[in-house]
Amino acid sequence: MASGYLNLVLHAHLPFVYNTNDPHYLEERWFFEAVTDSYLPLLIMLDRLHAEQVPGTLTVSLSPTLLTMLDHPILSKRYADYLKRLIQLSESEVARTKGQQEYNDLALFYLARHNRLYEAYTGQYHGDLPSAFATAAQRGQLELITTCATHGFLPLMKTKEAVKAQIGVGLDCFAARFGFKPQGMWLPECGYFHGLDTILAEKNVRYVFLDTHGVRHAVPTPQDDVYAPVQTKSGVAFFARDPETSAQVWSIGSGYPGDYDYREYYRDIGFDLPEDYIRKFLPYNIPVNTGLKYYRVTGENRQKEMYHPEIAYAKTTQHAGNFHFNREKQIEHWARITNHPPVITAPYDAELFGHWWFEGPEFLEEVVRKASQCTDVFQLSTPSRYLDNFGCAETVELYHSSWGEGGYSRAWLNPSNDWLYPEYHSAEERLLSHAAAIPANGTPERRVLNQLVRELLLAQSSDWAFMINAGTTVEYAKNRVDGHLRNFLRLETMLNKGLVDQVELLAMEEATLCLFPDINPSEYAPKQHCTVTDHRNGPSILMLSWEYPPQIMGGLARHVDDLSQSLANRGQAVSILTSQPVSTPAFEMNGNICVYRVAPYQKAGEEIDFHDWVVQLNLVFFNLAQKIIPNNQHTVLHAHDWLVGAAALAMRRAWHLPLVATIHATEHGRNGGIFSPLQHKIHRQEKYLVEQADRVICCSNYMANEIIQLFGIPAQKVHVIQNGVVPENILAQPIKGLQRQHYASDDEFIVFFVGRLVKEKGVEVLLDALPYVFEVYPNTKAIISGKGPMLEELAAQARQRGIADRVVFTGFITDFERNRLFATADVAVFPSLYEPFGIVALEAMAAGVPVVVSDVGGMGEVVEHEKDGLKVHPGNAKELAEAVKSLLSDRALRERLKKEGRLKAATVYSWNAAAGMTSDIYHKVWEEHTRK
Amino acid sequence: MRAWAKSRENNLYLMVQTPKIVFVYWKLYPDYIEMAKSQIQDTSDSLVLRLFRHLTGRPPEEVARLNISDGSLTGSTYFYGLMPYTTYFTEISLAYQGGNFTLIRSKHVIAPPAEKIAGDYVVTHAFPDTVPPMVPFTYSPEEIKQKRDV
Repeated sequence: MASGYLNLVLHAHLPFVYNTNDPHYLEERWFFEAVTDSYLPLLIMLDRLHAEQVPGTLTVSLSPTLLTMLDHPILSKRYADYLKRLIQLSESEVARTKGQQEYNDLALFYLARHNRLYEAYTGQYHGDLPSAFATAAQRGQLELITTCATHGFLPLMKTKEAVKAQIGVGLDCFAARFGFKPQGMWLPECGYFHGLDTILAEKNVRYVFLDTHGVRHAVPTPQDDVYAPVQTKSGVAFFARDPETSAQVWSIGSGYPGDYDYREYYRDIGFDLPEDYIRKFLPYNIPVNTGLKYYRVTGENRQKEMYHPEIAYAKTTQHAGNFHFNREKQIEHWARITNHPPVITAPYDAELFGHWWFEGPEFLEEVVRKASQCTDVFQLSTPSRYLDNFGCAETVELYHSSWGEGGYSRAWLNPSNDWLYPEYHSAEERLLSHAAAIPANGTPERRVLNQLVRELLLAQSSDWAFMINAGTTVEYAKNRVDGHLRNFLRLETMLNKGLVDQVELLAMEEATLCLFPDINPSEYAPKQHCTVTDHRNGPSILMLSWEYPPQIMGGLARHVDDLSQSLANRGQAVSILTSQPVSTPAFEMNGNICVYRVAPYQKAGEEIDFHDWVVQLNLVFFNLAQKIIPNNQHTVLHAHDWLVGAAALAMRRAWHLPLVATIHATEHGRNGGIFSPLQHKIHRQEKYLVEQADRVICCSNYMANEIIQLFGIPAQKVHVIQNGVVPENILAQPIKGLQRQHYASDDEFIVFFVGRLVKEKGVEVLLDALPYVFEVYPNTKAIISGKGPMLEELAAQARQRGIADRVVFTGFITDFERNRLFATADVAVFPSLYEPFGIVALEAMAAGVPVVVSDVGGMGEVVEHEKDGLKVHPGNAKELAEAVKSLLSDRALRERLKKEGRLKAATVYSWNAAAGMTSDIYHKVWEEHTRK
Repeated sequence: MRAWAKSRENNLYLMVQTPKIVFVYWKLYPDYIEMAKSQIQDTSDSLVLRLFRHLTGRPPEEVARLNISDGSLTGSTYFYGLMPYTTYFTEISLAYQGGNFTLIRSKHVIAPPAEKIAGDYVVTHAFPDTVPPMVPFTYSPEEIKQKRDV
C-alpha cells in the first residue's frame, strides 16, 4: 500500500476575450494559443492514456470565462479557422524551408502536429472541449472543479456580497454546464482572507487550495506542515502548495522547462520573419506568436541552436523519472513524520504545460505513466478522494495569503493599480442598492440589472490588475476596466431614470450574454437593506430619531415607534435611522419597518462633549443615508427634534428631498429661557431646522404657539397632530401580594409618578406636596419612577421633608413594569413645569388611573378639569396636595375620572388618526416637491 | 474612470497589501466636513489621517498619522512597518480642543501572520536531525551516473 499521495492540479483560466464584431480580435489569440498549446494536447494525452489503460487522476479547474469561450459556437468556428490558417502557414513553411533540412524537418513536424490538432478538434471532439473534459472525468481520469466567476481576486473586494457573487456565479456556471456542482474550488491566485471560509462553507465548497505559507502561518501551526490538508471551524478543507514540486517545474533557473534541449518560447517565426509574410495567414496588425518555433533554449548568452523534438521528448521521460524519484523521497521522509498519510499538492497553471513549456504535456504524461507503474511509495490522487479516505489533519485559523508575488496582495494592489479599488468598491456598493429590489424576470429592468452584474464581474477580473502591474498589455487592461465600468454607469442611469435604452442594452448583452445567461442578481441582495419599496401609498418615509426602542430616554422613542407602526399599518413605507446602543443590530425589520442603527465613533463625555457627540451622530447618519437614499429618491425625510436636524438638512440638500420636522420640545421651553452657550447653540439649530423644513409638526396648540412665537415662522407651516396612545399596550394586571408589599401594604394608597427626573417634570413640587397628603392620609405611599440627573437631589429633598420612608424611588422601569404600576396606583401625578404634550398622562388615562396634572402646555389641552382628570397650577404644591387628597377621599370621583379618562384616550387620541394626518402632510409636501 | 465620481458616499477604506503594509484610500465631500466644522468649536482646518493598532485587551493606540491638506479630500496612501497578525484601523479627524474629532473611521483589518512571532507560535515538533526538513531537488543514482546535458 502507498505511504502517501500526489495531487497534480491544473488550473486553466483565461479572461473573457470574445469580441462579437471582430473575427480577428487580437486578444482572442490568447484563447487560440492556449487551446492549441495546452488544452487540446492535454485532452489528447488523456485519451491516449485511457486507450492504453494507464490509470491515474489529475485535478483540473476550468474557469467560467474559459468554459464559456470553449463552448461558444462562434469562437469554436473562429478557432477551427485559426487552426486551418496555422496549417496553411505550416505548409508555406515546408515550402519555404525546402533545402534547409533541419528547418524543413521542423516545419513538417509542425504541419503534422497542426493537422493532428485540427482533426482532433473538429473530428474527435466536434469542437466541444468541455464535453471532452467531462468524458475524461467520467472515466475517472480527472476531478473537475472551477473557480470564481471572472477570476476576481477575493481579498481585495469590499463587500461580502461581491465575494459571494464571484463564488456563487462561478459554481452555478459550472453546474449549468456539467450538471453537477464541483466539490472543490480554485481560489483565484489562491487569494484567501480571514473569514472567507464561512462564505465558502455557505456555498458548500468542500476544499480549496492555498499557497504554502497560507497554511504554514495558520494558527496554531499545523503539525503536518503542508503535507496534510487542514480545515477551519466552518469545515472547509485547505490543501497547501508544496514548494518543492513548484520549484522543479516553475523555477526559471533550475526548473525543468529551462533545460537547454527544450523549445525556446521567445524565438517564434511571428517575430523572426517579415510581418507581411505572417499576415497572409494570421491577419493581425502586429507581430504575433504563431507557435512555429525552430530553436531550443540552448543556454544563456549563446547563439540559439536548432530544436530537436525527439531529443526534447526523451528529456521529458528523464525529467518525469526525476520528478517521480523526488516525490518518492519526499513521501518517504514525510511519512515518518506526519500523523496523516502525507499528500503532496502540486498546483500549476494549466497553460504552463504546452504554452510556456512546449513539452509540458509530454512531461505530464510521463509522470502519470511512471506513477501508474510504481505505486509502492505514492499514488496519484485527488483532493476529494484524499478527504474521503483520510479527512483533515486539524482545525486551524487561516489568514490572508496568495500565490502572487510576495505571497499576499502586492501584485494586485500597488501604486500601478491601486486606483482601481475605489472604482470597484463604489460599483459594488451601488450594485447592492440596486439588488435590494430585484425586478421580475423578463422585464427590461431585470435585464438591465442582470447586465449590471455581468459588467461588474467582468471589471473585477484579477487579470486586469495583474497585467497593469506586470506592464504587459497595460492599455488593453485599462480599457477593459474602463469599458465595463462605463457600461455599469450607463446601466445604472437606465435603472435610476426608469428609462431602458433597448438598443444600447442589447449591444452590451450581445457582447457578454453567453457569459452567465441565467445570472441571478440575488447574490448581491444585501441582508442589511430595506426591501420596502412599495410606493402605492405615497412616498417612502425616512424618519430620523436619535432614540428608538430599545433605547428609550423619554417620550420621543415611543412617539416614533407608535407613529411609524401606525403609518406602516396604513401601507406607508417607513424606514427609521437611529443611534445604535450596545448589543443592538445595525439593521433589522420591525414588522414592515426598516430600522437602521449607527453609532458615533467617540464616546460622549469621555472623548468629546455631548453637543459634539450629537454632531458626530449626524455625520454617521448622513453617511449611512448614502446607502439608503440614492436608489430610493421617492422619499420624504422626517426629522424628530433638533438632535437629528443637521443630518436631515444635509440629506435634503444632497438629494433635494422634502423635509418634515416634528418639534417635541424646545430648549427655551425646557429651561424657561436661553441662558448658556450650549442652550444658544441648540436654540439656533432648532430655529434653522424649523425655518428650512417644508412643514413643522407639533403635538399641541401650546407647542404650535410656542414655535410660531419663538422662531417667527408662518402659522400655516405648523400643524398640530396630537400624540396617540395604544390602550392595548398599556393595560396590565395590578401588582398584588408580596410584590405589592415591596411598594405599599394592601390598605395603603399609592400615588404614582413616572417620567424623566429633570427640572421640567416638576417632581420637586410633588415632594413638596406629599407632606400635606401624608398628614391627612398617612396610609399613603408615593412611587417615583424614572431616571435623570435630579435623582440624588430629589432623594435628598424627600429626606429633608421627613418623608423618605413613604417615598420609593424605583429608578428606570420597563414599559411592562410601568403598566403594572399604573394598574396598581390609586392616583397618577404629573406636576410638570413645561410639557409640550405629556403623553405619559394620556397613557395613565388609558390605563384607567385617575390623573392630577399641571395645567401647562399640551397636558393642559389633554385633560379636562373634573371631567377626565384634575388640573392644578404649575408649581403650586398646596393645590397639588388638595387635588390628590380629593381623589383619595372620594372613590366615586376616582371611578368617574378613570372611566372618562379611559374613554378619551381610546376615542380621541388614536394613533391611527395621528398617522392619517401625518400621512396627509407627507402627501402634500411630496406633491409640492414634484411640482417644482 | 467615472464610477467613483458618481458616488456621494464618504469613504475611508483600509486594505492589506502584505503583513507589514496596508493601503488606505479616502474620499470626503466638502459638505460633510462643513457639517462638522460649522457646529463644533476650536477645530483646525486641516484633516489628519491616523492609523491605529488595536491589540487585544488594550485600547487602540495611534501608530502613524498623515496630515491631509485641505485640497486632498480624495487620496490614498500606504502605511509601512506594521506588526503582522495585528488589527488595524484608520480614522480621519479634525484637530479639536486638544484632541481629535473623528469624521470617519474605516473597518478593522488584520495584518496576516508572517514570520513566527516568538513566544506565541512554537513549532511543536522538531524534525529529526538525520533527515533535513525539506528534501532538496536531487537526481536518482542512475541519473547521476549519466551526464546531465546542461
